[in-house]
Amino acid sequence: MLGMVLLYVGAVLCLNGLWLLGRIGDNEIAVIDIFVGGLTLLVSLYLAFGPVSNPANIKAAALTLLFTFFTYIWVAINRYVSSRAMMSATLVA
Amino acid sequence: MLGGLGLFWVGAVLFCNGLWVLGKIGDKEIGVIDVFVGTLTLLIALYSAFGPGADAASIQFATFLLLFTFTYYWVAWNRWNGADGRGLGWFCLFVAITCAPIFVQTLLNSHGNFWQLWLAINWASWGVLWFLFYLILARGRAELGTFTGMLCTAQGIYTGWIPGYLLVTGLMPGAK
Repeated sequence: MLGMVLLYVGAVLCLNGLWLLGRIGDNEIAVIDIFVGGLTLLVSLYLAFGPVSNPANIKAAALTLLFTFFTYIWVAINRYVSSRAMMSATLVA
Repeated sequence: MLGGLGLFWVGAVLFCNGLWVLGKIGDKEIGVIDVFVGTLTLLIALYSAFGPGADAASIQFATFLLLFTFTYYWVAWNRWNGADGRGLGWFCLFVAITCAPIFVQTLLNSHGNFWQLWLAINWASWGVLWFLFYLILARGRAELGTFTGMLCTAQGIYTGWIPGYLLVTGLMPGAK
């Protein structure tokens, strides 16, 4: 399970790096962030609430969620929110 | 058996996507089969990873299957988000590179088994095809489109449709 998560964390970090370098568009990067955010969310829920739940797995779930919500999904949400924020800023200006 | 189910439909989606790259299917319509097969392979991956009887081998299967799930969903998503496709192109490079060691491992572990040899050829084929997707989408090599479309359609037949059918009907030599 950890291997599966890490492989896709590798994918999302590579692509987000390329996005920061300007090689991937703002309206496209959210796709992989949602995919990998969704996958790490499912794995975390399985570890915390599934048949393998125990204190060690709950801790792993808690820490994995740091990446899920506070990085990937947040990056994705900001692709939509910030575009609106910029639009209203333009209107004010 | 779930592998056969997945492969059969991967055959359908590659067949249709190849025809789409060749201009024979419209931009607004191709997302339908991508969402269908993306969802089917997603369900198979989730069952394999989290369902009853999940083990190291089934988690490995789920991990690699998701490479395709994400690609198909991404193709569909890009039909309406106005993206230029470079992100999908770079993801395809990630998939193509991942296919290389899977091909070598499958080949080395096949020990002359007919189905395992076929599967190894599949992984090599997908690696080449996804690398072509990378060249077209992230590198702007649009002139490769016709060849890629024909290869994608052909791979739908020989990497998915035929082996998927043989697997689900129990006719594949060497498959357990």
